[in-house]
Amino acid sequence: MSAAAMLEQSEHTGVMDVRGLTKHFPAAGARLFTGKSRVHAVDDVTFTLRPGTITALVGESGSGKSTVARLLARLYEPTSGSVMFDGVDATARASRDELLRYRSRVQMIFQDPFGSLNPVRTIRHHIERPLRIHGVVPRSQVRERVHDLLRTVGLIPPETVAAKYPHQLSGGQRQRVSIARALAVEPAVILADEPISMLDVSIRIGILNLMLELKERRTIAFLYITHDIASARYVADEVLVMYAGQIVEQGPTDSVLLEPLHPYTQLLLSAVPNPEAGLRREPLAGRAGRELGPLGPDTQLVEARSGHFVRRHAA
Amino acid sequence: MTGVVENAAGTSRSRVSGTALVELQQLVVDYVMQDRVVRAIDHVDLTIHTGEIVGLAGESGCGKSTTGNAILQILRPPAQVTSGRVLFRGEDLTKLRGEELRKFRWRNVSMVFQSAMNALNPVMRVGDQFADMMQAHEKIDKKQALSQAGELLQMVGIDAGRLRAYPHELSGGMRQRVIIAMALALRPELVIMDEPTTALDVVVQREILQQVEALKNDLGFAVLFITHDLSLLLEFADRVAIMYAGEIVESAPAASIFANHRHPYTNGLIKSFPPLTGQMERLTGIPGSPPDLAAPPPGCRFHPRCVHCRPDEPELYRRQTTKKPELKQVAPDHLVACHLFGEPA
Repeated sequence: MSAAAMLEQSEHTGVMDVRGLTKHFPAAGARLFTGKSRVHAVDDVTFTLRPGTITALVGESGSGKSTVARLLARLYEPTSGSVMFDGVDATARASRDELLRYRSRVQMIFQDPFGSLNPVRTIRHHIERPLRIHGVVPRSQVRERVHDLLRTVGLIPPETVAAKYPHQLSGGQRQRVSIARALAVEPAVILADEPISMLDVSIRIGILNLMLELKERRTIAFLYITHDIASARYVADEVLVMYAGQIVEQGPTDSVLLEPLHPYTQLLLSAVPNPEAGLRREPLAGRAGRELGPLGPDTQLVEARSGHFVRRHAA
Repeated sequence: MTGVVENAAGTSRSRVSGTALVELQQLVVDYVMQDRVVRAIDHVDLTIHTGEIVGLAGESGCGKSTTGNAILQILRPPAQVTSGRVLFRGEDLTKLRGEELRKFRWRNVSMVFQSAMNALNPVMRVGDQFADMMQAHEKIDKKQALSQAGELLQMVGIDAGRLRAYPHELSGGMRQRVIIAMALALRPELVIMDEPTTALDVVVQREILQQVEALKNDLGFAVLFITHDLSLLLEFADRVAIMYAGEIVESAPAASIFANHRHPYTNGLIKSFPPLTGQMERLTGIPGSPPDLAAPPPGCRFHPRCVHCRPDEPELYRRQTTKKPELKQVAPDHLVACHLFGEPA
């Protein structure tokens, strides 16, 4: 059974159903080197985000993982494919009101907690804004809601934090502000694009634990985009491994990461520093010397184990 | 004090036969501003032997980059060396000035910076940047410089033809290799690498680290590797020093840091990495955040975040909150600054 057929069955349980999502970018410069005039940034990607789960999208720079997030946030128009959400195709042309409603249900958290907050505005301003724009609570309750949200993300005492400016907070605290801002509109889906990669190692776990609490308490569906495969194992229920615009392997976290089937997943795992595996392992063959296939147009995702799909050459 | 080095030979890989190349002795670096003084490095001792990879790990703002900059003597105001010495083969670098210092930099000690990917000049071909640097330090014509540059590039796995490339035509990993090749051009004895792979993907990171290790074995240079990613050092370094709030709190061979670390802060850092294999449990990281160095807490600087600092043990608590712990030897080549270990002095 193909991945698409599997998902067909679960159509009504998912918050967000992504089918065959594809995005090509025109690339004049690319023609010089590859003879192609388009970059296949995202190629036939299919998955489902379910309430109260974290789905990790793992891959390296340029694999297309951030493009997926931007497509789901409707920052880009897809070339083809569909994103079914609340029973509506979110890739169809939408009015301004429809977009506004969509964006109050699907929120994004960005990598850079330094660049995503306005330096001349207080923390209160950042969290009040979505509350007012989307009319989440009556004006009289805005102040109390801001404090609730700050408490939820562990920024206490909220009155003090709300009065601060972004530069007065650490990187981890700023990322918590970004999360509080995303939560303000009570979204069903949060797209978190490398939310911890710019933070100190000691702070990262705190943000990951916050995501785990939120998915449990608020039944939010998270798409967690990362190149840090160990953090994906820590938080995710399901893992998608992306390479060159295609999903090469997807399935339950432990099945994919403890018993990886695709050579690329194996390569990624072998590259992670892992003191548990013993110091000084044998040298990595590296991307150049390694067969990374099956990949490309003549391949498809095949269910190798229950719910665990791997890209194989078409029979 | 017990535990003077009884068993110097063969206890670890880090007991290298090499001699002391760089010695920081009671180094103090202050950021002197109009209204206050922030002590970024507080009486740090650190020795790097020839041919050794020393890892320096800690959170942002703990003073690890400042330590690297102090060795190369490139601290800029308001930072200044207030006291202590930086010895290179016995010579105190803090006494060098002008031309002496310029000759020392890059020839004896070179550096790969944190944002090395952006350290290349975008409007100059890679080869010209090599030639520039080499001609600044050696009497060499451009043709020779380019031919040497080609060899250096090949050493780090890049085709010599790429000398004609502009930086934007190279991937992030390749740019980082170019920078490493440049750092090795004058055959320095020490290369300081400040978060050299932080911006790179894991696969590229591992390839580059393996290359650095192979080159180190061929050429015999020492490495001071500065990073917040302790898991990397446990694999890559011979010896690891852990810095917290401007002080070294633990130093030991990498294998001992992983298996027998003593300091609660080191433990917190190691427990911040989710495991890739085995049972998964909820991790806590390290609660709180590093102190403001303008007003560090009294006693042990880590005590406000330390799980072992509790008022229900009044005697220990009093020491933890009022007295600064000294670095003590707890095993051969293993130093820890923590009141939980060793007798009160």
